[in-house]
Amino acid sequence: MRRSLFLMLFGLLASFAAAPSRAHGPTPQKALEKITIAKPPAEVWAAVGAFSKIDKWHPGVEKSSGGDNAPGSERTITLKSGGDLVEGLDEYNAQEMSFGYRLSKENIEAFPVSFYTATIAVRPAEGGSEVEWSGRFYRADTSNFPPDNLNDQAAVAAVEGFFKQGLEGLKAKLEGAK
Amino acid sequence: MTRMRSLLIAIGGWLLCLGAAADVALASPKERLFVVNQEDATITVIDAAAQEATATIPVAAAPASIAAAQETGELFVTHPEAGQVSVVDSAKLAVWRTFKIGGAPFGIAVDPAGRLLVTDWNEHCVRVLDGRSGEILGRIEVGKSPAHIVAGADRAYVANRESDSVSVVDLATLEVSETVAVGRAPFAIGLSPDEAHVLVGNVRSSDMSVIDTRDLKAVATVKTGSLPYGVALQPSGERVTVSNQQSGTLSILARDGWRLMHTARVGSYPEGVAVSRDGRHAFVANWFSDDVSVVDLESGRETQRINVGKGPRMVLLLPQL
Repeated sequence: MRRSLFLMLFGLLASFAAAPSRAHGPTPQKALEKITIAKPPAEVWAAVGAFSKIDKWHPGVEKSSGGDNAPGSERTITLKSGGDLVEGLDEYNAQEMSFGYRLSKENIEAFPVSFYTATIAVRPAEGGSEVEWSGRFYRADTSNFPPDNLNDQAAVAAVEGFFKQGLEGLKAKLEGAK
Repeated sequence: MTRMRSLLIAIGGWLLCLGAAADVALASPKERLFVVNQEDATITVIDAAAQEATATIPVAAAPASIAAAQETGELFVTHPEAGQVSVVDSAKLAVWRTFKIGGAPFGIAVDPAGRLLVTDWNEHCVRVLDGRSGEILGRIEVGKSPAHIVAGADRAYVANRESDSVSVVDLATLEVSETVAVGRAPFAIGLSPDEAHVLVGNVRSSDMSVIDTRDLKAVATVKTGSLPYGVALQPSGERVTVSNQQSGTLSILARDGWRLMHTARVGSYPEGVAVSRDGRHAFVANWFSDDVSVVDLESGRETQRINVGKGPRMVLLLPQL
């Protein structure tokens, strides 16, 4: 009796020790969202290309603050759903109208992803512009037995949802502007 | 009857030897590129000279890294999510056995004794396996989240992504003899053919650490593009190629002085890279665009794009046996 209690306790402790490995894991996931906007690329880029001003057009972002558009800059975004994410700018190409950034500080309670890199680009398209947002990311719990809220599907849903909501918000804002 | 059969086998073996000898004498055998596609669980086989895909091998879910036993032509593919290693017969182009080793096997190398050295991302160790039986011979504790591993004649080198270090494993004792500090988040690792230098791509600091293997110290830090995820050397050792995932480029560096010679634009989110035996081309797996870029190392330009399976990560070049 005492022995089985001991074993149970031991098992519990062992499961704690093994539990959520939050390092960047071995199997990345991808997300890709695109939208066409009936405005010239320069106008779209003027909005999208301001790294720390994502709160001006993303409906899911309560506020954002941070540095300029130089690689190495960091921005902190506060999600409307609660919680902060810190992101770092890696690449900025004004001529090609694209930039790449990464998650610098994870917050899996707010956003169930342990690490991501993403690129956003504006291109000329028929009738205006096309904006493409792509990301590579890892689930929040990178162990081999993640719970449902921290698994690959949860991560994909979160990133796709964030990109889609952002692009729709951007389109609505720019096309609505006179 | 039995005697007849063994005689035939003996003659067959002798003819095979002759054939192999003739191949070496006349022309170098064909090289094939094996591309590990994580998302659709396949390996695409590419004829490296013709630069076209010739076969697809289905494997278990979410394959990550690949290594080869040069002598037998066997390929070993890790599956971190399933805790297993698939063994692929590169002549028959099929998986013929599976080593279930548990954990999260990620990086893999074959040592000169034919043992498999497999990193475990979550358990922070390297497992040593018998390449023939799959039996686990040992376990070596290394840094946190070991990613890729490379084996030389006497040592193996492991990039510890979450410890910003490289573990040096003595292959005679299977113990870590040294731990070398490098840049932030080392992931890819390469060894020069003369084994004088170990090259490590540091994902977070976007640079490459150069370790001198004589005194096991980082002697240079070379700026790369953003998020270097793959490192490969020319067989001559003169040029080093580094794939930059966030930049979508391949940096081509001269080992002499670590000068940047070219930056080639490749596909989307490039990762694994390999250089052909003649040193002319680099093959880069583009994880997001589901293709392989062929880059001419002399001109520094992408010359071909080959469609592969979904989510290609690592690549391996192997001469046809």
